[in-house]
Amino acid sequence: MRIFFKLVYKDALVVMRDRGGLAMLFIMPLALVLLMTSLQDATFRSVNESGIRLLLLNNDIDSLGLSVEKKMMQSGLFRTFTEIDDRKPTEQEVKDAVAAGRFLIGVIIPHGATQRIRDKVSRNVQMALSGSQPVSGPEDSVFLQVYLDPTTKISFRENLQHSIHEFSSEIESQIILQEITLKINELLAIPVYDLSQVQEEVIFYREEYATRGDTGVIPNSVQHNVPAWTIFAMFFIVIPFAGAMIREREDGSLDRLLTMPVSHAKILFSKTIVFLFICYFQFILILIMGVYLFPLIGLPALQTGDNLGMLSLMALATALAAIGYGIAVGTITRTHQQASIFASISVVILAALGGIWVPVFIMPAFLRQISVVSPLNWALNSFYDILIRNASFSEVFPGIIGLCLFALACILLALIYKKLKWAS
Amino acid sequence: MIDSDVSIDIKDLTRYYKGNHIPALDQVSLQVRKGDIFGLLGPNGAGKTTMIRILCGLLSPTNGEVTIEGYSLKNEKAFIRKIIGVVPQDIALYSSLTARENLSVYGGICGLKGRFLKERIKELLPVFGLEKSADRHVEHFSGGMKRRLNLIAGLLHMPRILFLDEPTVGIDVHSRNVILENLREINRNGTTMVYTSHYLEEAENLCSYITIIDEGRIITRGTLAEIMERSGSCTSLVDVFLSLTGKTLRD
Repeated sequence: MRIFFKLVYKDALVVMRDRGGLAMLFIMPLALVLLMTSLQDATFRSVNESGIRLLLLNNDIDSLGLSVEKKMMQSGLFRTFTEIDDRKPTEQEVKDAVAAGRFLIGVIIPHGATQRIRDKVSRNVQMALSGSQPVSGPEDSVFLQVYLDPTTKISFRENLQHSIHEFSSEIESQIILQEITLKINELLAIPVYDLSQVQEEVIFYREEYATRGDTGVIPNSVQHNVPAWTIFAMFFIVIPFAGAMIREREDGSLDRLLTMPVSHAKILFSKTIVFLFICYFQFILILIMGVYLFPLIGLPALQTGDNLGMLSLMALATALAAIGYGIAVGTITRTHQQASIFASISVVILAALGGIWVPVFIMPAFLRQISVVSPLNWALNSFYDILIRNASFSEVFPGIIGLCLFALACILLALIYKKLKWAS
Repeated sequence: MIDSDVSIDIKDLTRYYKGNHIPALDQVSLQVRKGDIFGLLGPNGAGKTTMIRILCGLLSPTNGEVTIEGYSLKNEKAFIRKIIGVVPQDIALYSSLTARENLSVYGGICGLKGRFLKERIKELLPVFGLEKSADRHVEHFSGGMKRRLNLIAGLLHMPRILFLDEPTVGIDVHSRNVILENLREINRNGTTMVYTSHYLEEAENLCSYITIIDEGRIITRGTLAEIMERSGSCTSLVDVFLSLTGKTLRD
């Protein structure tokens, strides 16, 4: 045991003497989590809170145009402008302003749009009441011209279409009901109440997060991003870990150690202990940053609930998986350069597959199937289970075991490789 | 029957490397007697390092048997590791640690502890002229200082057998002299040594028994006097070496 402590002392000393490297091991993960969470939070806010710059040219000074304009003005989604340089723009100027990037969207409501809808509805109501089949031709259609910034993403475009469709279909329904009321009043002696005024909504929806128990935890960008980027950062321990192994091998220290009364397993285990401590300390610092620093810079505070024990266990299991992977990389690769390139690219791939960048459920089917092989995916799901879903220990346990088995498999792979190489 | 005078007994040692049909060691048999400074010489690629790595337990032989102090290398490696010391050709030290920290780590791993370990470090550093640099980081040492510290790390725990793989390569005359003088002294105190070097004059002066190997086979062996006697007209070990191994370049 004394020999093992001497190895741990040596590994700790080597890590601590590299002050720059040590600082990077803590500063870079903190910077990564802070930056990525802030970015994701800002993106979320730009869509939902800050408002998107929209230029509206309403050439239809009637029900449709005025109603759409009013709803856009009231919408928290858009910051709606109707003028450029204190005057109403032309259609070409709307297109140019969006193309120049001054606005993300330009919407043009054509002249006489409301009247065209009225005429169409009137004609159809008339035909329906006289027993004929209502018909409509292309001349009846109303086209709202929408210009989009070319950098706009598809998902955002779909959201926009949905919003504009919602605004216009409401006023379209109103016009239909107005025309029906008008025609009925022409036919009946007793006037009926304007049906378009009956706009009472009958379908409502109530939104609630399906968590177990009343945890008070509100899913937000912090609750989603802190665990994701923390796992990502922790897995980057693979690079310094593999580097330490390769350095020891290249300078002959490993060979010297192997001629002494100490096993290779003990040499690896001592490094594991030191780097496990580093990983765990990284996790604690990120947690402290999430809970105490985030609110000071305008981000929501990370809510850990009362699951600190399970969180700690998960952090240890994640660190163990990362270090196990580091042992495999450090054993199989021959140079520091090989190790750092392979480790960094493979961690990014495993992170992408694991749902760190984008959620697994929106990935293509074949990627969804592959994603289950990523230990980062197991870690992420288990962290979400703890932080967001308030899961019990028995639900998180498979994730912890999976990560430990992954570490074990990596170490076995490294030992088998080492044995085969030794024999050859 | 075990000869109590034999420290290392090697029988038919053969080693093939993967993908190479020519053996690095080809049925080598030899004995190293207790108290000898055994010089293992040969050109590049002769099989010296392969043999040292096998004797230290870093490489497994394809065939053959090795016993060290009566213990089988195959079955009792853990015990053998306690009685051998290795001074590798590489500077196998942690450059960010001080000389004292390096020795404390290696000594501790070899089983030395507490006061004894500290005393042993305190005793050896001045012998090799490193007492004033004990608390300096090794990365700031000169080549000679590193070589001397590399040597101390191998003999700190007073091994019965010391393997020295080119311990004086690339250092100045002063450092070399200190190392060789101290190796003689350590040998006088009973440590058996297996020594490889390309400096044949050094081997000539230091070794009590010499074996020259080439292409994995022993080509001559004996005391310096015996080798010179067999060589006829050769006047130095260098002449013998060149006459036996040829003058073509080796890689």
